[in-house]
Amino acid sequence: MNVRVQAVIAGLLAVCQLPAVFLALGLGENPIPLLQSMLICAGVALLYPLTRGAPGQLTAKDGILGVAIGWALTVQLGGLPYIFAGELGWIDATFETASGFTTTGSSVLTDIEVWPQSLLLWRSTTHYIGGMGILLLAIAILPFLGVGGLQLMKAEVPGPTKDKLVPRVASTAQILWGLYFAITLACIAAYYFSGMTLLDAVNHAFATLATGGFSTRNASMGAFSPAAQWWSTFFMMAAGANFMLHYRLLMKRDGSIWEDDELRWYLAIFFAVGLFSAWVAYPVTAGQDVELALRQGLFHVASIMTTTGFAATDWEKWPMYAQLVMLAIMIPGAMAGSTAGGIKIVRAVIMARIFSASVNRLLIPERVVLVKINRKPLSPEVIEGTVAMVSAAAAAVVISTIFLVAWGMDVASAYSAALTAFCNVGPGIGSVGPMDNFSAVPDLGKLLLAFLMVLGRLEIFTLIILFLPRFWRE
Amino acid sequence: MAMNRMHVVIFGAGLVGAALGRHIAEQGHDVCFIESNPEIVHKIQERMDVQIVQGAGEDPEALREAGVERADLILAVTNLDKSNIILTLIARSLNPRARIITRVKEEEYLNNRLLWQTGGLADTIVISPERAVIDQAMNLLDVQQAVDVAEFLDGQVRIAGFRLEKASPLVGKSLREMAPDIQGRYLVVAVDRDGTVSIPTGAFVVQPQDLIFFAIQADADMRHLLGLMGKDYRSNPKFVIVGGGPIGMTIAQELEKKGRRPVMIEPSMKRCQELAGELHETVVLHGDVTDSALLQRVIDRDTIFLSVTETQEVNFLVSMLSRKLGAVRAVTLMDNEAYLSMGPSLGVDAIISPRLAAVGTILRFVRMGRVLDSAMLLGGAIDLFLVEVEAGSRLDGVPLKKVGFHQGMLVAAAVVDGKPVIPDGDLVLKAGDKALLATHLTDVLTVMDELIAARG
Repeated sequence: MNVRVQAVIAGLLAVCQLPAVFLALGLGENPIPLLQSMLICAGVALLYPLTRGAPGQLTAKDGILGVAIGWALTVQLGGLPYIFAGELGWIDATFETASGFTTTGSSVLTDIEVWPQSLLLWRSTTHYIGGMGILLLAIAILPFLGVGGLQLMKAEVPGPTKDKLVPRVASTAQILWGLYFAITLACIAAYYFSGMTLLDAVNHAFATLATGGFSTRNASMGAFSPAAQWWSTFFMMAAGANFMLHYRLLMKRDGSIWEDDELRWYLAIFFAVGLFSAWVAYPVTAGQDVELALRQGLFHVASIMTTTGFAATDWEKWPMYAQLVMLAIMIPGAMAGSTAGGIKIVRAVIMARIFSASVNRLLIPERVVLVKINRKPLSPEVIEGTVAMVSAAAAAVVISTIFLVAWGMDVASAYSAALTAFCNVGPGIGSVGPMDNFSAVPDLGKLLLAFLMVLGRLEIFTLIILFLPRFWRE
Repeated sequence: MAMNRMHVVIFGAGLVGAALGRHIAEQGHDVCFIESNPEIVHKIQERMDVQIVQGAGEDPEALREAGVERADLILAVTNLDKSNIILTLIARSLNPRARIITRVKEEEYLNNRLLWQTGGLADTIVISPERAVIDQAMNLLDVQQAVDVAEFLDGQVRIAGFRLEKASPLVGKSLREMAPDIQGRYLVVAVDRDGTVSIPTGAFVVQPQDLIFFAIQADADMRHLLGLMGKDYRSNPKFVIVGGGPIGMTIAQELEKKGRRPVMIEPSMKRCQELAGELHETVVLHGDVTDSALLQRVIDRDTIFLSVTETQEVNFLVSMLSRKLGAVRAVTLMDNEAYLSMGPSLGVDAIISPRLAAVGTILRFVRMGRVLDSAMLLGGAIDLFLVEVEAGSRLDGVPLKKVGFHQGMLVAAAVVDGKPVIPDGDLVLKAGDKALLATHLTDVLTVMDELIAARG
């Protein structure tokens, strides 16, 4: 069964490289690296017929294994075009592809603009596929291939609880991908009419909706008009919102979504930190321009909290405490069920409420307090899972920081790199700041960060379970 | 609107049914019970001037004997929801035009709108005794220090009784002498002295321990009124609810809607978890309700205490305890008449009787149609009727002091041009206005008819 899942993933990757191949042919660029990579993907896909007769039902273990191996495979196959084109070595290609599929957006490229357009489109496409999830895509469009099941969806979709929108998993996946695609089209149009070329608009819309952050320009979104940056802020926030809420608002005209606890915190953090950043940015903006300060403040807060990682200006020029605030809002990130990374705002809210419940119980021992979200008590499993995930995330970041420092990075850069990789954001501070890149990170560090990205994208459990001996003993 | 004698069939002669039957019979209607328990049948036969058929409500023989086909009003008030619903369906099939009132307790039935809108249950009036208890409790929590409260016009007008304290500045004054203090703000409607109710005249001199009923409007200055009664008013009371059953939980929810943060004490941990899930502002405490150390910690001078556990004795006990611990007021759920008489001397004077609440609510609907709304106070010692003034009636266009009311009846409040007012003798009502009549007479409908119906 798991071989079948991998074959389908490879097949999908081959198909997804087609637009980049056509672009290469259209612009007269060399299509050979992409074609070679497609052939290899197609070769893996040919394993599919061998899986006839495998059981169609997945156990929870199968789901976890399928998703974990699927992501490892995706990261390796997706990096082939860069290697065949001679642009990157294996380590850099792995880093760049992991950064792409996990929608992190950290790059080892020092000069993006010299790369062929077709490779840049493939780079944005990795964001786009990883944003909503390649397995979810497979479930959505290929149900007849026998790849399906709640287990795969549960292992890939982020968030403390995973609900289906409609009774069928495949229909749920179709709705999610359909919404994702529709909002992307709107974003492409908005960018295009804000003055981008169609190709730039597509690349950046992919990176925006996936909350990735890859740009085709060295100056990132700073290369485009103020209107484009405002639209970008809007669409990043949309991509960082739970797609289930999009579904309820857009398809069901359900106004009650505004009562959602997580959405309220999401917007509250955005506006509070956004206005704070605008206030910080105001003296730094050369023109002393209110619109510019507001735009930069809100844009960067949206970019960081939705874990997109676009830059429009170098916020490393802001005071250190303001930079630390930006690092802090990476941790909660955006909403569960979105394309964003981080531990998710809902988990941060749950943690805060667990804390408040503990304090209340200390004050009045007889008091019975439940941890609730949206006025509904959470089950002990969800609370435990949240505490476990957040603690594990903290441990992962701390341990990785120690390794990165041991391999020669300074503390601020190492810590922010580990955090930004785990939260799938992109930029850190210090040597990996918003206007820098990750090319100077030691090789082992790049591999560790790539691992952290996938660990963060799959929210730890799915991946870490593979490293537990217990999982492999029957 | 002449007095017409109704034929009323009541399924179930238990506590609620019997009380209803007595009230309805006293008003001159023919009442027939159908009851299967021979002991109850025997008791009713001895005490009341009504017809009683012994048998099951489903028995065609009994139904015919009771005259269900020709009944004007049918009440299904047995103890079982299922029986009441089935009896309603049977009665409806025999008599399509009767008014049927059904008593239903369980939320599962009550909340099922479709059930009461379709088929044989479509025109049934559904009464929930629990809802009646909750309404009464909310009134008693809202009108601080009141012993009994009746609410009209969505709470715009209330009739509330307060016990006069020794310290009150009104002690020893006649109603005429206290007029400057209260004129135009509240109206003395009735006084209960040692269990005897009267509608007092201007010469009436009030004494400590008198239970004085006032008509008050929603925006009344309660601090002033309670000051006159020699009582304390708390502008920001703290609510403590003991007993987290369905009634306690709903009351907590209603208080939350009013922006309060009540404290609730419940002994069952499982129930505490459920309560903590349903209630969002309430502080839920797990503990023994009679644990005085716990009570002592949550009760202070601003506490309005409410005990609604399932055990009446416990309610009575903890209410007493709460008063000892300094609670400004204790509201208690209790039906037991022995306790009822002891309550006031022990500081437990706001008592909700589930039985009386159910009877009161059902009577409200029994009377509806003839009157716009009605209620009773002190278990029926005072009746209140909201009526519309008809053109050419004795009330129409005459100052109240010249109407010449029957002894024992007065206009407690009025709605003039759509606005509620507290009347004085010079108030003139016109056709289309509404009058809230208060009386302690039993056979009131004839008196009322001649007052409000057009002459000729």
